[in-house]
Amino acid sequence: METKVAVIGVGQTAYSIQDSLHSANEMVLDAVEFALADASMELGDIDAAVTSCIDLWDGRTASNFYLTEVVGSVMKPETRVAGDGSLAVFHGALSLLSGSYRSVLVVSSCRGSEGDHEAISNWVFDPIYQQPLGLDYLSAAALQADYYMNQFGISPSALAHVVAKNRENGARNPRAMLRTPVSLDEIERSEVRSYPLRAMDVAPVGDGACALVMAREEVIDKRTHRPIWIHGMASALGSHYLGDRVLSEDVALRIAAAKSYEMAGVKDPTEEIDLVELSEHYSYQELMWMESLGLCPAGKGADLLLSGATRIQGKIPVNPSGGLLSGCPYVVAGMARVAECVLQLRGEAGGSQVRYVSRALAHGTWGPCGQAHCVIVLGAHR
Amino acid sequence: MGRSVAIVGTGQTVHRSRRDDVSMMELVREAATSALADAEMRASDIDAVILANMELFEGRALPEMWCAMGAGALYKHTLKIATGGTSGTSGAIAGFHHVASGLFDTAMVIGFEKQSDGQTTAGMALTDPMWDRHVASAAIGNFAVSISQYLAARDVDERHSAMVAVKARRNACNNPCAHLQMPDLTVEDVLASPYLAYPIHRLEMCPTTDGACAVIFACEGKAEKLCSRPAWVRAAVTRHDLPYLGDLKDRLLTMRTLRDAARKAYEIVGIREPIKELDVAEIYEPVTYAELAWYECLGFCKEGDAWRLIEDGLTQMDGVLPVNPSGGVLSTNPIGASGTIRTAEAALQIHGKGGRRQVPDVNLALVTGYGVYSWSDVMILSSSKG
Amino acid sequence: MMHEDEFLRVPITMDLTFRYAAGRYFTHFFREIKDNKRILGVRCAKCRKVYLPPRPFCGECHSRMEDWIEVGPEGTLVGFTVVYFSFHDASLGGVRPTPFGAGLIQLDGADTSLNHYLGESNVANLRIGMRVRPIFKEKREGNISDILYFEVLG
Repeated sequence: METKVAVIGVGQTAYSIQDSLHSANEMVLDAVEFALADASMELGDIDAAVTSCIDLWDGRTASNFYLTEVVGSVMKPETRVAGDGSLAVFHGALSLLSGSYRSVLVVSSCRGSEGDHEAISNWVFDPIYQQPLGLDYLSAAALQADYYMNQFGISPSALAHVVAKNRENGARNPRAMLRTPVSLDEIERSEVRSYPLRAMDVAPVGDGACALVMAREEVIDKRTHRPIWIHGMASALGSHYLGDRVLSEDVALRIAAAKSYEMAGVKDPTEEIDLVELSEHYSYQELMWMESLGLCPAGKGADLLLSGATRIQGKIPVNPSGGLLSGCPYVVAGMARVAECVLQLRGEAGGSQVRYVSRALAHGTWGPCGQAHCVIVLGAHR
Repeated sequence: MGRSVAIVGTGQTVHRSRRDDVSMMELVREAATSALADAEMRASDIDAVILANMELFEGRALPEMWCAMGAGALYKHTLKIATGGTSGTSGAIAGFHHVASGLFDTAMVIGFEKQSDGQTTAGMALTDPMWDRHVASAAIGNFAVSISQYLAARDVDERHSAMVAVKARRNACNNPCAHLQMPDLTVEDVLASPYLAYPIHRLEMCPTTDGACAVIFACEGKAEKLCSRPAWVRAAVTRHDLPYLGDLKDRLLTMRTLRDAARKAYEIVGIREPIKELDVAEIYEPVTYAELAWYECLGFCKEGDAWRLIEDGLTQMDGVLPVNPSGGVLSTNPIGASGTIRTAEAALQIHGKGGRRQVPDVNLALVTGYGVYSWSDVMILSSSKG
Repeated sequence: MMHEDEFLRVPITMDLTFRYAAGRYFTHFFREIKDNKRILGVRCAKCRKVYLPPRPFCGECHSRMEDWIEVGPEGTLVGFTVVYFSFHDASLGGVRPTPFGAGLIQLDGADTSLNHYLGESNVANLRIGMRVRPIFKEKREGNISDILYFEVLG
């Protein structure tokens, strides 16, 4: 990438299981105001908005209509990307690179408390083969977890360690939804939701919004802005039919990661990436995504985790924010990972701060069993 | 700034009220393979796939996860744009941005809608739960209310509206893909058709259709090799507006988003007299009166003169600026595809592939998209890179 | 070659419940309608535009709005139609009998208009500019259907 683009503003609402105080647009307005203040910009200075929200999750058609006023798109361009918020970040960045806009506001929002997340997810599966089976994100994830664990001989306690680490991290993060640590014992005794996944293996969805201000380098003013640069970004879509995939590996994520690393000039992520914020909608996914991101060989995610390397003080911290297991709304998840990386790279992550961060990786995923992925490498230096 | 981008191929399905013979994914595949054949490309030549669709009309969530499989999207960067009726043109603009960014040399945009699979009216009824949802009259009722304002402000009578309907359905007869083809339709037929919601007669309203349309974008350097006469994207402008039906005064008549998007697009390209300088226009007209009102918004004539354009035949196939040689949305309306169809139809005019609907010597083409209450997209395509 | 009738269709019914948060602005708005039969708009301090329904942010001026203004209850018809076909009506739980009148009503004091049913279904008796008045439900619940329809006053 010759021209560079950077994130210059970050705003997140306080994620919660149910926010009854705000309507959807009132909630998004808060996130937008935080991001604008952080970027020292006014809404009128922004050229375009890229929004990210999903109609059926919002229970509204063309649901981004509720965002128009608060994202500043009255008489301005806006486009709405459905999928994960990380994809909206990608799209915002590329619309900057296209030369059409100098600055964009990228916003992701979800009102998980208003609908039934699992019931809604059944409607993602194709109506001919998979939906009639009654599959939803949880049961599909459970199938994948079981397959993966059998393939590589991973014990349930490895999954519990993922939860314990992330909940401990979340407890240190003022921005996390769940801020109490949980013991291995509590995790392994939580009720089975869909074998082998227990209640605590499932990331809670809820209400919240995340907003980022992104700009082309010529708009960035070193005196007022604290830019965090996009070094590489890529996405890839895997096969929709679960039976077409080898569920213990994720080819789409490998491809997205490889492209993103190539763009960023990263040859060995374990040496060159200082922290990873990935989207673990279910605990086992942290292990799988680490493998497909090339942080360890296939099947060795549990070993990497148990070695301590992925703790905040470890060699390659994974989800120092507490990740999705500490609670983040669906759709917002991937954008919030980018937000966390930006804060880390600026040294503004507070209790979750990792030392010596100059490059970070943010990851988002959407669709059944991580069907599609987006990987974004960010850096403190241009 | 960004590099130049052109449309090098287009493809459409046969648009019908019910395509029982294909699933949604197969509908996408039909359009994709048609576009690839048109451009003489293979699926592996496409770097990114963008789908445009209003999923709630089929009652789906993230349908691109399934349907993109029909577009050869496996392992590619794939995303879906969903912005109401503008989905198809916003999707095209997203495709343009993808290639202009330098990250992708080619991108295929596929707009699709399989309305017979779902309940469009139920999907459309899911407006703001607090406010506009309670009046159960759907898009037709909303247009009708806005049209009453238009009629009060303009010297247009229902004959002019009916002429627009006749132009559309007769033009559609030159388009083998079009849904409603009515070679013998007359103004009297249109006015005799029953009222859906006063003053809209059934034959003045767009149909609901199953269909898909694919458009292939390529960067300069590649476009010239792929296409003998690429349709260069010279302007792509989007405007959104306030969220509730009653927020804008005289919404149809003013349509300030369309006015401003067109003004900006003309400024970028240097167009001063659109009706003279444009060679063809494919505009998104959900109802006949919209086409009339928007002749003025698009600067084709002075305020108040739209009825003259249609009465004098200036926008007919042999007129000074043919509008909707394809038959328009009035003849074919798979909502997520309708904007992509406008884009494809404008591009193929420049490509010289219009067959019986080809307008002679097309160098400059206008595309518009419309959706939700007042969202607009405007694109200008040209045979020259500029 | 298969004939049209031979193709399968997979029937799946969507049955999802949503519980939408009204938030601060709509909650206040509906409470006033329910408890006091008062209709409130909100005014932008910068452009002075009075918005109905009330909302937190003026999309034109980019500023938050906190000035609540009572509007109506009467207003002017600024757009109308009579609908002749039947649609499923979520608030009735069935199909609304046709024909029925609907229109855009600009309540006195508001700058935007409200989309609602009219008590008149004969096109010959409807004109832009007529005065209208809301007919409220006896037992109100706190939503827009607490107004049953607008009576046309001529």
